[in-house]
This record gives sequence, structure tokens and C-alpha cells, in this order.
Amino acid sequence: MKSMVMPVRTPDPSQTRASGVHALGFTGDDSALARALRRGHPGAPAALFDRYGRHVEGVLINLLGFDGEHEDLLHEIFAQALTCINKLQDDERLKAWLTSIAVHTARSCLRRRQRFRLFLRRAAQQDLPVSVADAETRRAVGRVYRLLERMPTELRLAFALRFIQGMELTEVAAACDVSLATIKRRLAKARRRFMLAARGDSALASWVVPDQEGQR
Amino acid sequence: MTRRDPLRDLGQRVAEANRAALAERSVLTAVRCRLLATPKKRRHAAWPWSLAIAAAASLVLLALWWAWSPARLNYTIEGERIAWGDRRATLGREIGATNTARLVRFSDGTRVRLAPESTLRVTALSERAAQLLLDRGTLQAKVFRGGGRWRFLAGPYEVVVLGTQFQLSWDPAGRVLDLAMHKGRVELRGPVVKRLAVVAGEALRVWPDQGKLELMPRKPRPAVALAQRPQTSTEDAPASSQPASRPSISGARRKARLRKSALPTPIVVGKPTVSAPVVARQPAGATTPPAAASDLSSPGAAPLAANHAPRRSAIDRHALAQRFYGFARAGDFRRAAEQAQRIGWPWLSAQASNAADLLMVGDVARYSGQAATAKRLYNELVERFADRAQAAAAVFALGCLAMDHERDYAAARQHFVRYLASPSKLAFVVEAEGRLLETLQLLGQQRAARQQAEHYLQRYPRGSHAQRARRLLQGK
Repeated sequence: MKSMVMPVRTPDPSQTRASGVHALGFTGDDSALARALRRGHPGAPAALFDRYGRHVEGVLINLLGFDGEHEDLLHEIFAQALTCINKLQDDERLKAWLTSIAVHTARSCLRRRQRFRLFLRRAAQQDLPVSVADAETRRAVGRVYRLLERMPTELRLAFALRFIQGMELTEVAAACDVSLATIKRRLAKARRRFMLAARGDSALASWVVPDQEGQR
Repeated sequence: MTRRDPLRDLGQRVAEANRAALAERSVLTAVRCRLLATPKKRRHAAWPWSLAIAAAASLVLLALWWAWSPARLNYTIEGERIAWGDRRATLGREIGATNTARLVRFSDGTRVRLAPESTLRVTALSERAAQLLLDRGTLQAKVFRGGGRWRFLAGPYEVVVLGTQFQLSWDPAGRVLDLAMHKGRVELRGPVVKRLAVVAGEALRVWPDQGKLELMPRKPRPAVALAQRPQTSTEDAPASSQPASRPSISGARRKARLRKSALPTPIVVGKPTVSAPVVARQPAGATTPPAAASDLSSPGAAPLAANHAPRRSAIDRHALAQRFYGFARAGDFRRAAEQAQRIGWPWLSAQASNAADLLMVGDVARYSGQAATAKRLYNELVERFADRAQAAAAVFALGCLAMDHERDYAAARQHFVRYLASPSKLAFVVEAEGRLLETLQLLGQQRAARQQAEHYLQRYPRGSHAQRARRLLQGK
């Protein structure tokens, strides 16, 4: 299926002046954008960010939750994408490619945190803003990421992509760069672990109880 | 009825909460500014400059190395220029002179003149030196020594150039090597000679197959120069004619050089290390020195023999010194003294680099009956190596000399007392205690002698002087 052509959002003139970048308009689908990036089109990086920045940021937040690092991680993802654009094999799968870079970056971040957990202070998980959810939801979200932190990295990534990000199994497998069978096995394992922990958690117990009607 | 997954519901609620929060805490604007504010090309703009700077620095270093590296040798043969780059073609190439002499000029100023019917090869070239192989014939070399070590190979011999001008010949048929030094010094290495330094004015002929070596001394200097120099050789002279202090090593060497330059003497040496036939070559007008061995038979003849000691160059003196120490270590003091007489006692003592060697020289002199020489050598040993055990042994030997030869019992007593008070390990302590007892008796110091006798009997009741001590105590 041909990817949908998305209009390039015109940047805010004040931001452009502040950053010193004179954005040139770019229009075209993902293939054209990838080609433009390879050719060094001056407007292509902005177009890429404007087109997929929000999606990548969402993936990143769903994988890691809110913490103080996601701005740097987001910048790192796009910087890496711009540098390694020549490694993109299928230009039409630009979004999936960016998602996989986000997953890899999140994996590196999680492993780095695990490696230096004895020496570095853990990045504080930030609570959701009061305005966006009620107290119960905010508490439940915080507990979800607390439980995910106890999981192995690969299980956590698979769980977050599948159940929080809502990706299909094949998309999760592609993003994690593993086979479908492997991702199914990981998901089953992650589900068991999470359910076991969530049932013993007062904030999550009510969330994970199967619907009685549905069971019947 | 579809079955609802509680985890999906939970995940959706978490995702919705995250989306709502992102609407407030989105960092897209900040990241966009950071990302796009850094031009991509600028990140890569530095490496061409770095590469250019590195290349320029490499070129500068290469130029400096090229400028400061020493010029490599090349040489010309009769106008034919051979550059360093052609060294593969030139190294080992035969340079022959058939009817006329050929001159080989090296770029450092070295000149090698090849005599007719001679063949030469340059076997190695470096920045400062070269190695030449004389296949046959004669060459005359004037080597410029710029820090490198030139080597000339001839048959089984190697001439390491330490000086500048010499003539080298090699006869492959007769297997004879001739070396004549005009200026400077070379070291000859090979059979028979092993390592032999040949100095200016000396000539040498070696037959390696026959183990023969013939040395010619340097030429005599004008008589005027000789007349201006005082004849100060005082070896074994009577005490009244000896200087008050021992002559210094440099003085002894200076005198030895003076004697060498004064009297030209043919020097014929057999194989230095093993016995070999000796071939003599007498230059015209030279006088043969008196045989020294006959002078060693009586102590009284020693000063005369020393004054007429043969004048030898340092080259054969080293060879003779080796033979001297060989005889001395074997206990053949008569033959050792003969060698010492040929070499000269002052030269031997000056060359003795340690106390043991000097003690050996003194012992040879004492056992061969040359008391005055032995006394001088022992005194020199005590002076040069005062803190060595050999110095204590020399003190004891001085006591023996004073007691047995000079009949100076007071001096002998002083030497024995000094020896017994020495902190060094004493090898002759029993003998010194007995001789001290004897000198006290001879000096008429009866009380001290009785005390020494009691002391001696307490410590050495079976000593060689025990009977003398008992007799003294019994009043006999």
C-alpha cells in the first residue's frame, strides 16, 4: 500500500528565527522524503521531524514513561536517523524504521540504566500532570511503569509495544528485530509476569481482573 | 461473545494518559530546534581540514627528516660515479686494478688506492662507514672517521679502523697478511692475533696457517728530541738514586713511551696465546737488547737488567703480559720474572688494574729475588688499594722483606704489627705473630718478647714458633 502523503507543516517563524534555520518547503511521500534526505535536501530533516516527531515521541513515552531523559532520547533518535538514512532499505517503511530506531534507543537507555544502576541515581519517574487524569489513573500509570522496571528489557519492550503502544504482533516483531515466534514467546512471558505482579498490587488489582461478563 | 483482554484495556488507558500528558509536556519544539540548528554539513566540515593539516605536518616531518638525515655514502672509481640508490648493483662488485693503480673515492673523503694486480670489493655501505673486502693485493687507505667504523676484510682477518692511514696487503696464495700503519690506530682481528691493536709507525706480518706473527716497531725519532729528554728510568735503582715518591702511572707511561721512541727495536712475537714458531726480523742498524734472563739469576744484577730492559711497544707488551700472568699463576716465577723483565716492571705495575694482579707482580719480584722491586711494588699496592685484603698481604710481605733482606727489624716489627691490626681477613696471622716474636727478640725487647711468647702459645700452641716461644719463657 502506498503511504499517504502528508503535508509539510509550516514552522513557526519565531522558532525559525530562533534556531537560525530557514526551512525550505518539502512535499512528497515517505519515499520522496527518504530520497530527499539522502540527497541532502535542506528542508527534508524538518519535514521528517514534523511528520514523525510526535509518533516517535509517543513510542518513546509509552516504552519508558515520563522521565527527564526523553528529550535527549528523542533528539538522539532523529539525529541517528538523519545520519543513517542511507541504511534505510525500503523507503516506504520510513515510519517503521523510525520506530525500530526508537526501540533500539530505548533498549540502549534501559540497559545503560541497568548497567550503572549501582553507580547512578535512577532517573525519577515523573507523575502525570494533574490536569490530564484523575488520581487513580495517575497512580495506576505510575505502578505500571514501576512493575515494568522489574522486567527484563526485552520483555518490557515487547509488553509496552504490544499492550501500551497497541502495535500488531508483526509490527512488534519488526520493531524489536526478532521473529514472530520469539515475540509471541516474550509476550506470553511478559504477560505472566505482569499479571502476577499486578494482582498483588492494590492500585492495579482492579484493572487486571477479567471482566466477568466477558469470561462468561 | 468476544473475550476482553484486561491488559489491553490497561495499556489503552495508560496510552491515553500518556497522550494527554504529552499534549502538555511535549518536547517536540525543543528537540526540533536542537536538531535543526546543527547543520549536518558542519559536523563533517572539520575532517578535510584535519586531513589537510595532518598531511602538511607529515610533509614537514618528511622534509626535516630528509634534510637532517646524514648523507649516505657513495663512491667513485676512476671517474665512475655510483650512487647510493644503486647499491645493490655496486655492493660486492669487483674493483680490480690490473696494470695501474686505481683510486676509490668515498663521499665522506675516504680514499682507498688499490695497487696494481689487486682486487677489492665494497661489501657494505652505511651513512658513515663502509666495509671493504680485499681479495688480493695491496691497498692504501686514508679513512675519514666521521663516527662510523670502517672495516677492511682480508682473508681471515678483519681490520677495524680506529685511525686514519695504513697499508694493507693480502696474499691469498701464500696466505700472508701485511699491515703497515702510517697514522692513527687499527685493531686487527683474526687467527693468531685474535685482537691486536697496531699503532702508527708499526708494521705487522702474519702467517695464519703457520701461527706466526712478526711485528716491526715504529721508526726512531730524531736524536735531538731524545737528548732533550732526561733519562729517568729508575727501575730497581739503589735507594739513594730513587725519587722520594713513587712515580705516577702517567709518568711511568710517559717514560715507557720515551723509551719506545728512543730505541728502535725489532719485535718478534710468536703466537701470543699458544706456543708457535718465532720468526725474527732484524732491521738494519738495530741493536739487539741484552738478554734479561741471565740478569735475573742474582739480585745484584737486577738494577742493571732493569735499566737495560728491552724497549717494546704496547702491542707486544700486552701479549707478553698475558704470558707473565700465565706463568705466575702456574707458580713458575722464574719464567714469569723473565717475561716481566722483558716487559718492564713499571709497565706491569701501571697496567695492573686490580690489587690481586699487583700483588702477583710483587710476589713474582720477591720470589725471583728482586727485593727492591718487590718492595716498591708492595708499597704501590698499599698505596693504591689500601682497603683491600691484598694490601694487608703486601704489608706482611714488606715485613718479611725488611726482616730477611734488609735486616731492618724495627721496620719489620712495624709491618707485622700493622698487619696484625688490619681489619682485613688475615691469611698469614700465625706466621706474622711468630715473626713478630722473632723481631722482638732480635731487637732485644725481652719483656715484650715474653709477653708475645705467652700470647703466641696461648693461641697457637702447635705453631711453627711455639718451640721458640717455650724456650724464651724457660729462659734458655
